[in-house]
Amino acid sequence: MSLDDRLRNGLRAAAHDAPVDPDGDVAAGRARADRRRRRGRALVGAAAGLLLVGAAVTAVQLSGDDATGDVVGTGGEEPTPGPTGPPHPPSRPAPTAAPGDDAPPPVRVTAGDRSIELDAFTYCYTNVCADGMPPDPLEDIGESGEVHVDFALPDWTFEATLRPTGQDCGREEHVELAPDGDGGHTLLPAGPAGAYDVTLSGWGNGDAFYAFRWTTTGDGPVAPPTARLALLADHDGAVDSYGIELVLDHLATTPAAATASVTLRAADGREHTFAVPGEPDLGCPDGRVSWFGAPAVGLDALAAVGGTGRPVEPEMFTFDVLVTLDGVEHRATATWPDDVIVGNEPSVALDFSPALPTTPSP
Amino acid sequence: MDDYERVFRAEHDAIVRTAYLVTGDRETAREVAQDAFAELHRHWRKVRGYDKPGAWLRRVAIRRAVRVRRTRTRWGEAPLPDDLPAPVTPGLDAELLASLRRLSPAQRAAVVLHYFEDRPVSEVADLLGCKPATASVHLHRARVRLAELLGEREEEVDADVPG
Repeated sequence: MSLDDRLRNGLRAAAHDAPVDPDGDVAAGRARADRRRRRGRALVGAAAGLLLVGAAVTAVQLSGDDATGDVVGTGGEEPTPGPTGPPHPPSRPAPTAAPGDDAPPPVRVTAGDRSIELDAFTYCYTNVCADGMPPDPLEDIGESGEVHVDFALPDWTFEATLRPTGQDCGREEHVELAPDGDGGHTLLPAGPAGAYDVTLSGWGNGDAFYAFRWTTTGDGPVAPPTARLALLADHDGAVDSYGIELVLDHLATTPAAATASVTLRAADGREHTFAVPGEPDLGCPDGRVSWFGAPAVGLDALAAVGGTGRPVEPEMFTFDVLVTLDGVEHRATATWPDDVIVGNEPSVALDFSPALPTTPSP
Repeated sequence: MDDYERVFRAEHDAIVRTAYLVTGDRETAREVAQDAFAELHRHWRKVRGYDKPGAWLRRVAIRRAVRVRRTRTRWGEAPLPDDLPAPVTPGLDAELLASLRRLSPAQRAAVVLHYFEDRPVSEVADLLGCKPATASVHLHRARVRLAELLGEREEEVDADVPG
């Protein structure tokens, strides 16, 4: 019997031992949900559920406010513009942190005279992790040309991701937050003016994620196209393949048709060319084209050039990638393992010629 | 019977079975399933409009099961025994199930989704919230590990280890 058959048979037999009792659980499930609502402190975020992890605590549910953010007027006088540079916004009260709370401190987002305070919907902070989803609906900071973000976590770094509101497959723009000299950060628009769902991601001695809605009143830059290929991997010092993953991102438009092929070339000159199998995923998010294939694709290529199980060495292999987008060919070459993207292993970055179609900057 | 209860009855047994296979513990499986259905009930107003409310529910349950398994192992809470309780079902492969317990939570979940629920790698990845290549890694390493564990004890098993 093969291992695969043994797994299928063994799991199906074991499943008969599962405690299925639908009638009892219907009532229990609803009662549990009702208790949570009556407690008045809903889960942080939504949907995915929360798990509180502590050194001396078994897994329990974490409660928090569902809709976060109190609209607070900052009041005060109009600021006097300095002799140079843009006017400073009115002084903003620091976000309030709940004393003794295991959650990271909230974030305050300000635009003009409107200010909202956001709780993290997902975080790992001190010894506690909680996973959730952004509140629905999101707190809305309104329309502005920029927003200011205040964090009570000075040693953390933050970035923002903007996705058009209401578009699950909308084009995402990633934006660095710039220190504004007032102890906070300024977030400028990215992409065309419009309504965006913004996720603030913070990292320090932990991580935290916050979300709000913002309607930008001016256009901002758009990210240039990027491309990467994962075909080979370093598996404990030996060459292996976990499948093929070819991703083109931030194209000017999502093509109607796309094909790709890869030539794997070993240092001794042996090479193997194959078409990337399957239909690509197109347009989610907008501007993305991606292919994913099973390990056999990479393993067959590796075997064809005599690379199976060999120890990893510098410049072992070259990838020549040809993509055709709506009839236009683009080529790129990368070296493995040398061109592997740190933090996104085992992918290598691809620089295509001619360049991939780019959205013109506004 | 309202729509929520219809979804509950359609999905409940499958959710509990998968949670049981991932966590290896009956009570934990019950808790995971109840929490997932409580989340569904709480967000029913939105989820009922989805094409596949069951898919949303399954995603919640799987990720919670992996998280519970991971955190209880990390903190030494309610350690899951290597020895299985006396099987209710004749023909239970106790050795296989003991070996499954020695996989990482993500590897175990990937194996359950692929071999028990017959899901392709792309769906395994979606349910686990990872990239397809990562899901392939989990499956690959799980197969290698299981082949090592089972090969020590049963020579007649042909280890079908891709890669």
